[in-house]
Amino acid sequence: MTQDLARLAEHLCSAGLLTDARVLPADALTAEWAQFHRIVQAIDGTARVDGRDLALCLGLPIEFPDCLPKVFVRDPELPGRIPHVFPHGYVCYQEQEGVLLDRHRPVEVAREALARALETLRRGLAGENHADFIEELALYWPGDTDGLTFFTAGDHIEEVFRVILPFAMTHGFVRDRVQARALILSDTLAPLAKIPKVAEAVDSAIEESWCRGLYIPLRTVPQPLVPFPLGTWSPTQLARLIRENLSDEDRRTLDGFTRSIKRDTFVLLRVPRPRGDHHLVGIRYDNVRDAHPLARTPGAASISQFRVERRDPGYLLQRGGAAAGLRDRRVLLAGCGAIGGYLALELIRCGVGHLTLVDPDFLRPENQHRHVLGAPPMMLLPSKAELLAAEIQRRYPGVHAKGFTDTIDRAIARGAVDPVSFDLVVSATGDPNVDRSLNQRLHPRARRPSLLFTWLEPLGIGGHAFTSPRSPANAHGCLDCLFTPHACDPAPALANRAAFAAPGQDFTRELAGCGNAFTPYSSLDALRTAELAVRLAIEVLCGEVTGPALRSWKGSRAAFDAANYRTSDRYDLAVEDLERLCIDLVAERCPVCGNP
Amino acid sequence: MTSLQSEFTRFNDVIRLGWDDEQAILRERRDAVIDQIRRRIDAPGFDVFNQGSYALRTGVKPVDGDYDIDVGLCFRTTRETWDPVELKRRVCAALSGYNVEIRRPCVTVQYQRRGEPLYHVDLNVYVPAPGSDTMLYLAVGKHGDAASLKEWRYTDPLALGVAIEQKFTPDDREQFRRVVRYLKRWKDLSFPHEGTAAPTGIALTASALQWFAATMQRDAVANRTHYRDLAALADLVARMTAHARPRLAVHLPVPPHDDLFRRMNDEQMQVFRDKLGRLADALRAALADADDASTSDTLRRLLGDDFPAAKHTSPRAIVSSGAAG
Repeated sequence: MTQDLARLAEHLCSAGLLTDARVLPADALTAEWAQFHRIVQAIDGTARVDGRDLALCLGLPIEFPDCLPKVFVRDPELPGRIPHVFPHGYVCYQEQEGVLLDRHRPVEVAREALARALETLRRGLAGENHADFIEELALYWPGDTDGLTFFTAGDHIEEVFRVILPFAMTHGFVRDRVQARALILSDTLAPLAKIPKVAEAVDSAIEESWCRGLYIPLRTVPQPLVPFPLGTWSPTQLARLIRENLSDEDRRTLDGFTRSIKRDTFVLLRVPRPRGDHHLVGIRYDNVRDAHPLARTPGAASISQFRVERRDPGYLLQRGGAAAGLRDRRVLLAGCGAIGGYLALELIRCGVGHLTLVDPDFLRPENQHRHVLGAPPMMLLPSKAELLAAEIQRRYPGVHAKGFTDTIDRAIARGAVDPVSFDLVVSATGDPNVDRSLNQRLHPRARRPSLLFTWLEPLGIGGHAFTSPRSPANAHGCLDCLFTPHACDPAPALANRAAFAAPGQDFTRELAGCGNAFTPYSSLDALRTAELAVRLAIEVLCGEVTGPALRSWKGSRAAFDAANYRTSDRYDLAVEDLERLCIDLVAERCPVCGNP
Repeated sequence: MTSLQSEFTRFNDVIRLGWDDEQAILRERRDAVIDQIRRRIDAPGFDVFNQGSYALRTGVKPVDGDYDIDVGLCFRTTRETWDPVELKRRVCAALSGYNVEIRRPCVTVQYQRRGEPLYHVDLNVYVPAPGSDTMLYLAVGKHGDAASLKEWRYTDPLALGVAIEQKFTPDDREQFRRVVRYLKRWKDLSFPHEGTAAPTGIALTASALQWFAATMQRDAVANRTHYRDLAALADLVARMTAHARPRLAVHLPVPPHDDLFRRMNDEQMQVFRDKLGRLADALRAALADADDASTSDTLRRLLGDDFPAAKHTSPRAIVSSGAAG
């Protein structure tokens, strides 16, 4: 091993990256920096960077070559002077995440790592990446994580509050007492809030830890301080960071707030990043004396900095890959069965902020292996729509989900839901009669939401999603077009032209006589169909699909063949055609949107 | 836009001369005739092949009941060894007991019932053309013909079939055959007893080979192709009409490169052209007619009562959806 390391040292020298390279003795690796970074082998040397000789160390963690080697610069002046150099002189030249290493060529990995580290140092010394201090401010911000933020981090300075969340054993940063109460009780304890003594106890706990603070979004990207503080910032440094990057109006607002806060307090600071997006970091002011430390004439205080974990929906949606701009979109989902269950949750995960669920059925144990909610709770006739809505509310605070136990036709007829008030109506009932009725009711309307229908076929043969986006009244191309035989079909039959199963076959099975008919398919089939439908729904909501579109996935035909069922000609289409082809959807003689 | 494709499909099923009863009887007759020739002929041995509409699979049931089948007899000899009419006479002599007639292009065996022709088998007598796998010499002439009318005519009797096979995809070829059958049925009805005044079946088939374009509509959703025979027929007839100025001329792609309409004189061609023009107009009107019933009436006037009246079919109203959610 030592020989390998010696060869690596020679290699780095011959590559011109290091001079005087030598293998560090084992006892040198007991030092704090090596222990902290789990370095088990290391090479010391000198590198010429931007006209300066820098003492460097290439350290190999125990996991190397399955992880990046670490590079340290031994110049005590560099940390804080140039970006990406941290305590112990650790040079962050490359994030480990997203990297593929050639584990069979460790010497090459080490050589390339050192070359990248030297380039990072060169850019730092040349002043080319100074803005990275702000770009990666959260990394340099001292202090531990001390709380979760739940308020919406907007564009204006506002008062926010800190409260202890007893069940989370940390602080919560909230917009008001109502939010604090909801967080402490959570959904599971919410019914107890009706008991006066419980409510009093909660309010009393809130009052005990209640602390006023400020949320301050900086207007401009700050210039990094020189040298950039790697430890705790001084009160002056913090005040300059804040006040110099506010508009005049913001400063007046800040002065107004600071005049009224003279006790222990905090600031949550939104700092814009040079390449877009922003950081949220915290400053805690304890033992405030005379005046707020950010006042025009600042008072004194004990200062500590901290980091926060963001839990506000806007940030979480973006961080989770949700599409921007969907929070205000309203979606009505008819059918909360196997497809609808997955579909509802995925719509929310994609960023849809308002979801209304309608389903007349109750969650039954026989469907637990293909329904997203699994087994029903021990209660009589649990409504699918209402249970699903409650589950969404529980899992995704800030989202509006409401469930109605009814058929979609009745829910509309009795005014429980008004389809026109939605951006998108999705039907996942799996019942073409319900879907066609809904299509006929909504498609001809002058003002209508976009419509999307999704269903699957038995035995894993495939699933489909069809949409007719919001468009002028009587625009051609609706669900009924799929059920309209082609004008030249010599043997027109009642069938869905999109079906993978050849017409005239019966797939329902009965396990226990009449009333227990079911169509054989698995949770995976429902999941895949829901994914197809959600992707299409998001494209519709984002305005990327503006005309009728049909998407299908096809699965293996093995089970289908084994049961002696026949597939349609559509099943023979290539996968890419099934996913993208949108021609011939409009039927000339469609009774709903065509000229019958 | 009307299609009446199901009516066309049924019409084709009714008029096509297929492997059904009539054709079975024809095949039996043919085999009996050939068997007797083999046993009795005083001539070299021969090979047998089918030709004409039987081989092209474009045959239609005759409206007058006189079914026919074309057979090629290729004798293993040379044109230098045999006089064409003598070889046909030997064939004729071998068929004693049959009602046989030597005609200029062939030897015809007639089956009659109560004096009315019931079936006939046309025997075409060939010898091979040296140096070619496909070219043959056809024995042309009959007793009493001038010497100039008796000849071994250089020809490829299977060329049309090969050209049809090569030009179309299988499904398009089926539409081609259907459209030829429609045209031939129209011809049989429009020229009932007019001899050479009527275009021959092979002339119409060769015209279709030249001007037919497969016509269909694609349903990309169902991944199905719906052929539109009415449009294909209307298009073909329109093109033939457009090229009949003043005469329609169609040549085979192989020797002897004859114009297959050459036997029609100008007056007969005029009659044919007029009838073809009226057919084109009627088909164009039918195509533009949105009403199935009146379109069907038009087509019955053109193609006869075998074309079915438009029937409003009522597909099943309760079927298994095969869908779930």
